Amino acid sequence: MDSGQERKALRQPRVWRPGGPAEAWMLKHTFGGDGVFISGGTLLRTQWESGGAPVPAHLIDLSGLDGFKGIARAPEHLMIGALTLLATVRNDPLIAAYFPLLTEAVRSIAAPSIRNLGTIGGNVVSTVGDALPALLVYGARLEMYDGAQTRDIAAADWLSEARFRQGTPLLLQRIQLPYELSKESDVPGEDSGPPQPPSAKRFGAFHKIGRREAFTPSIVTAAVTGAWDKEGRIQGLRIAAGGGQTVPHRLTEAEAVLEGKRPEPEALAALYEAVLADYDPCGDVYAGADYRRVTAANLIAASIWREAGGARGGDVMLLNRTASGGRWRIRPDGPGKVTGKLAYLTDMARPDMLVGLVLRSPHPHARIAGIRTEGARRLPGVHAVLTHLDVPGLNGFGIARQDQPVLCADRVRYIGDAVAAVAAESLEIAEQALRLIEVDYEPLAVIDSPAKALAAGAPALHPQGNILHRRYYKRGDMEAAFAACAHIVEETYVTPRQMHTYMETEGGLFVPEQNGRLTVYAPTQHGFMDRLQLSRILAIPETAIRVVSSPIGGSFGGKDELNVQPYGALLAVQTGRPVKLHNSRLESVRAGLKRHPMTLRMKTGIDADGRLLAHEASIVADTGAYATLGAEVLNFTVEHVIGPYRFASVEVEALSVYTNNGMSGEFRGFGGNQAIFALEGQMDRLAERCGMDPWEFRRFNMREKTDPGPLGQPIAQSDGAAQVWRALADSSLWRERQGLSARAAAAGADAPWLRTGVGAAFIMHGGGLGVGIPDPAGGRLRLAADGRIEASFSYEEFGQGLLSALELMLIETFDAAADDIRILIGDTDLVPDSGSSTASRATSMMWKSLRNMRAPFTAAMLEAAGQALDRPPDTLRLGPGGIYDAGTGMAGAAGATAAVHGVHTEPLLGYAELAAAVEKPIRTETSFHFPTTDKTAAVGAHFLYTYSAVAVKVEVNTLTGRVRVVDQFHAVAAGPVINPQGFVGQIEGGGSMALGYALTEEAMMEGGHYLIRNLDTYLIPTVADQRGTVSVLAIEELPDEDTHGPRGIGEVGSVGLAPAIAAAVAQATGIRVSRLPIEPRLLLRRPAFLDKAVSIK
Amino acid sequence: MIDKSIMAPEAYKPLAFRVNGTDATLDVPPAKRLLSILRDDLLLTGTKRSCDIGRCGACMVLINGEPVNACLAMAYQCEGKEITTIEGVRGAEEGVLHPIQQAFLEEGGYQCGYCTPGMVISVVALLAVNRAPSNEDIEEALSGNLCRCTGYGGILRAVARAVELGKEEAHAGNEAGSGADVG
Ligand code: FES
Ligand code: FES
Repeated sequence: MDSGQERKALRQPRVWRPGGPAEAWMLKHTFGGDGVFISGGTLLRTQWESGGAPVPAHLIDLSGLDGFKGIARAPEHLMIGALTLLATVRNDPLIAAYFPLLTEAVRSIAAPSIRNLGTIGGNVVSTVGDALPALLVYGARLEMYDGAQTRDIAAADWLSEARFRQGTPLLLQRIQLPYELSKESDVPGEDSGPPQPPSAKRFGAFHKIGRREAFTPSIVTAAVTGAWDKEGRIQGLRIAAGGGQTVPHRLTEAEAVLEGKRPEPEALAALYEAVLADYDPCGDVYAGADYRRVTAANLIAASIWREAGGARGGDVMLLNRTASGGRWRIRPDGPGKVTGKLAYLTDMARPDMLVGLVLRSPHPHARIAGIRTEGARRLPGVHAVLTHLDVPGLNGFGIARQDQPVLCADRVRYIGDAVAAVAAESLEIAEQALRLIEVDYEPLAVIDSPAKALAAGAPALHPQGNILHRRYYKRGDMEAAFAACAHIVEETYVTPRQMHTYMETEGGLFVPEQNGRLTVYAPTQHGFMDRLQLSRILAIPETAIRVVSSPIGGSFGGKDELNVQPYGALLAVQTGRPVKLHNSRLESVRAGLKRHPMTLRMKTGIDADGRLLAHEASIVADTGAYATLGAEVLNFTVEHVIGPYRFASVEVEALSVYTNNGMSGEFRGFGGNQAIFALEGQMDRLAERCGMDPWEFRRFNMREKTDPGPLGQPIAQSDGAAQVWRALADSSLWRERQGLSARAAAAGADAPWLRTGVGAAFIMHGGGLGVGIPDPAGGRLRLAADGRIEASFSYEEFGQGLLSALELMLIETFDAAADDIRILIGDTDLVPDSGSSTASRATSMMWKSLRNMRAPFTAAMLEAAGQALDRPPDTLRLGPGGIYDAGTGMAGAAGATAAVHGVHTEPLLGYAELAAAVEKPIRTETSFHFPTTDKTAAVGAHFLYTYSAVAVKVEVNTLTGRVRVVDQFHAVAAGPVINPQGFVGQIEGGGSMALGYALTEEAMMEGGHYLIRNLDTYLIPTVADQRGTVSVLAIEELPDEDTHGPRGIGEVGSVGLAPAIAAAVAQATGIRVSRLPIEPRLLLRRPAFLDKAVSIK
Repeated sequence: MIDKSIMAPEAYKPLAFRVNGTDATLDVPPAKRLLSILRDDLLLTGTKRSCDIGRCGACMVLINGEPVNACLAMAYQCEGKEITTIEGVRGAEEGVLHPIQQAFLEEGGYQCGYCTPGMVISVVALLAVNRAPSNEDIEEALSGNLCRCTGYGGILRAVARAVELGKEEAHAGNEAGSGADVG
């Protein structure tokens, strides 16, 4: 950055508030490029925050120009003041009656809250606002003030010149909209009553196509208006189109093609061709110009065709509040969350705290020739500037392998690599300090794909080369097996780099304590692992560090690895002051983990009956610059590309490859998402190839109950696979599929471009870390001095409802009341190490811990109570509030239910009294290992599995290629449901992530740089993308001999929906996609009405 | 020429506004973001920070009753305005939850809870002007509030429940002749 920019970025802009247009114009004239007109500021703020434009020195606030606010009726036109809020335009009845396309257009702009700040004028002067196509077709004129006079100019003319205009500033004052009238008498006079809306002979349509259903940047916007004459001919046709960075313009040649004509197929076809020729959009990385052009032509032609001729259902929640009765509980952390009172760790502050920031590499790959920090150190208010020289211990971190430098010494390997860290008295000073650090980089060749990394002669990113991990698995005779196949399907599947997008970005507070210890308040999924890693970096004992890690504003695997903790800890130790870090979204995107992009090549064969014979997969994962859990993720993928099917011969070869791209790592589903997308894609293609129903094909080839696991390892047996298969086959959604043939999928004559399909996927998902990896578990129970039964685990609450699940289990295990219980989690000083809250394991491990501790803890409690009451312990039992006579009242779950209704009798001895009476503390601990398979099995192979089957119905709009998910059905066999609300929430939430994975989410990179920077370009589903029902069927039944209880459900919901969507799209359109997110351009179809005669009303 | 006396920039005038019913005067730069004023100066951390550019709704507050992203609103735009944050949302009495908060609680309209304050604010704003919103109304009103955890299922059930609670309350209110209001 040059120094001029530095000053600009630091400076707080001055705000000028002119009272009239002349003053405003004068200010602008005076400041020139240093001054900017501002109304709502929504667009400007976005540009400043994302670095798209510098913060100017002067803001000329137009909001005092009262004369240009509001909507007024003039004889010939409606006047909209430029400073009118978009919200006002959206809700104005006059506009809705006369200019409905404008109402529609404004409704599609951002969200209501933005429309409460942003103005119509701002939307117009941006030259690419989504209101413009509507204004253009209505022939809007703009009143512009040029410092001397006000002139009006057609919006179309102003826009077409906008690109070239320089020099004299213009101030937009009002927008004039000439009435759309069909009769002279409709003209509203000064004193006449409310004007009549235009007669029904007029027509119009507005379309905005983005990358999701709501609050999306536009890709194509189009507005069409016109009228029918008595003979059914089109008169006064106006068409305008824009979208993205395309300045909207009228498509006059296309208009001329249809003017005065009836919309016969030939005429529409000519219109279609004319739009293709006349509309000249700018493409970008999200959508190419061709896609935009064809989509615009489709939409415009269809709106006229439709004019000429042409619900959400009740929720069926199979597992839901009603069905769950008293077990649907208010979560213990709920009140704090709905009131905003719960302080997240990034909400914490100390009066004397410093602000920490990290300097990250601007280059994806470079040698560091020198780092000079003197300038930054000298800046007043800066308390520490750290480089690699200031790391006292191990300058590396990583859960599995510590190959990521805390602070890079001589080389940077990705654009998030940390080079220095500062602590200063304010954010502004810290930002300035970062700018003053001089780093000499010598850029190196950027390895921005696994292919480049694997190429002969590629520079090695790490001492061992560019391969983090290779995994090979084989059984059977591949050659013979393929030779015996009647059908073989070969396909290459490509999956995107998905971002966790936890709403709370990384951050925390780091406090050096009086006693010399360090307290770390920062979200993580395994506090003890952070403690271990930090002790290595700081070179201090683990016991000198306390890690407090809950509550967490979302993680999904993304906060399991260290993020800001090393910097906060180092800065706090160095300065002796509390230090706070809280990543901006930009920094979170740049430095944070993503889901591994993978390329999965598969070759799978069946015999003539459809029986699977051979399956070959080769997988390449882009793991980014450092290891973290890249190897473990790859192992998981290898196991899951074999999955629940019986293949006699299998060969899988997989590589996880270092590159200079962003970091890949742990993410909900852990490599299963990619595997299942590819594997299920193969199953659907093979079924089609041999003419079998896809679900029947799966049953035919599915594992039997006693079969070994995917890697041939022994596993805990259950009927899960068959159970979920049957549940899906019986579901109404799947039965609906049978009625939809690809041909008949067209949804009615009114919108033949909407095609419906139903698809399904089958999932067998491992829980726990797998064999060969330390996976300790355990917990502690004690009767606290105040009489609470205190349960301590090192698990974390990141929203999944762990506290709620534990509370329910405690109530049901000890027949206690909620008030009798205290739960301690997320604090290494208070809890035993129970292992990590990852791999869908925490609930299973708490269940098993309580099972282990139930008898000894109960015995100890009753023993002590017996002494206190002078009665034999076996005549007593635990209950709500205390100890009861075993012969009275209701015991067990019935008692708990009764307690909810407040009908239990009084205890003989309250827990507080018991606590006061006992001599030695009552305390039980357990520790064990997550159940694993045979030690001889391949590393990472699983023992416990969750089975799931997912069906989904989609609607594909072939005019735009956009896919909309309509209804979902999830059958999940995971043993007993501990917490019904959490169960439903995990499946619905996981499904939503999979929906984004399938349709919109991709953190694109180019040359080692992210092309997305924030939530304006990285699009996760909004509420409008989640239409329709989500039915969740929980299959709880396990074999009688099962001792493992509930299986994990935290991840499985995020795995199956994407392949199911791909299958549904195939049924709807006949097109099988092999790449996610699904590209709309592949699903575009030339409208059939262009080619065949249609009846015109 | 510009008359300097009327044309002085507003850099030095302190911000005077009301936050959750209490008058506040703060010496902050005019372009400072409301989000930072709330969280860093007033320590009202119920309003969350996530994207900083108006795309997620975690920072949603009411300005004169209308939902606005606090990360976009600047100090000078709040002059003389009434700001309501999640800390200012409560039921009829101190210490009692607002019916919308109660609905979120009962239906499990949250998981990690980070989006929840903003979500509650947007629902408060919606139901204040529309007691019986259609699905489309709800989608429009919540389209600026992202939730990564729930898939919106619990949130939509919470809104439906809040509408129900609102009806019950309005009914009770009418009978008592008090015209009780939701939001
Ligand atoms: S932080 Fe304000 S909308 Fe995201
Ligand atoms: S509950 Fe976590 S983002 Fe909504």
